[in-house]
Amino acid sequence: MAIQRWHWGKIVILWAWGGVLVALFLTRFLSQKAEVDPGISSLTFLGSVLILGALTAVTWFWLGGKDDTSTDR
Amino acid sequence: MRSAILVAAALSLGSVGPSAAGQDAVELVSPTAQIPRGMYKTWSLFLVCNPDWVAPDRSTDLANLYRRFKSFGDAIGRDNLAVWFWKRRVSVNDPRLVENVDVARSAEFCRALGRAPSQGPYLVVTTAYPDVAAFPKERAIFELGGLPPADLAKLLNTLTDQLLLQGRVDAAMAAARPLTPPRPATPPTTPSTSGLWIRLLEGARQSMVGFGCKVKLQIDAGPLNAELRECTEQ
Repeated sequence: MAIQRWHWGKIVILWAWGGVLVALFLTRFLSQKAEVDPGISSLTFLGSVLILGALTAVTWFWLGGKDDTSTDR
Repeated sequence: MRSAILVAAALSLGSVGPSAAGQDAVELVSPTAQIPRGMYKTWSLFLVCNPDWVAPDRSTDLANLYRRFKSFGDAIGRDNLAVWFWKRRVSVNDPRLVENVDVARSAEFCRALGRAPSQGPYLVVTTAYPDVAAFPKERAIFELGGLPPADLAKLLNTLTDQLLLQGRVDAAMAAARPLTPPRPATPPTTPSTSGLWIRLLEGARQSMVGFGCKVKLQIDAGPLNAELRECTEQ
């Protein structure tokens, strides 16, 4: 019988590192006005969005899914 | 402290000073003197580094700009400092007024800011001390060169309101202004993509900051108590 199973340990590790990166990026993004250095602001803002998107995709496609309970416990 | 200063040369002994009346808010120092540090919230530099503006036929425009500067310097209050660079003391009605502008000193600031002199004069507002060797990154730059008198008055009035009431200016307003004055012979231009993108970024930033300021987080874990209050000032 196939059930939904999540790899909680991997998810925690992945999102912990990703969260640290996003926190650093957002801190830099929020620390100064966009007019001061548009390049850095763009990089940090888009970087934050991309990292969150990538973490979501990785979590959804590779860290969760349907596994057979008879072989994976 | 004065709300405005006039940077002029000390070798002006015996010269006619600026119009005797209405100069209470102006402080005279030598060209090599430092801009006062004081306890100001902001410094507003009027930079005339455009050689076109010191041509003899621009004397009237320059005098008008200087009068605007004086009014602006008085109106922004004692916590904010407005700065103008002269070489020496002369009357504002002097026909050779343009020769008295300390273009060289303004040019140093224009170079530090990476701004083309041809697009000046500039009004630069900063919340940190304007050291030409290490100019603060938190600054708002306004191009005054192509502004009609009415637009110049409107801009200075808006900046006066913000400086007096908020102690700072909205940098987005400077970014939203066109980098070059519109030319009558060319059709109106649409805002540049980079300008639009910068405004989007700033909007996102302001939204995040504003959202964070609306959240009040309180943690009570026995002996350890922590509380994050809402922002009082952005």
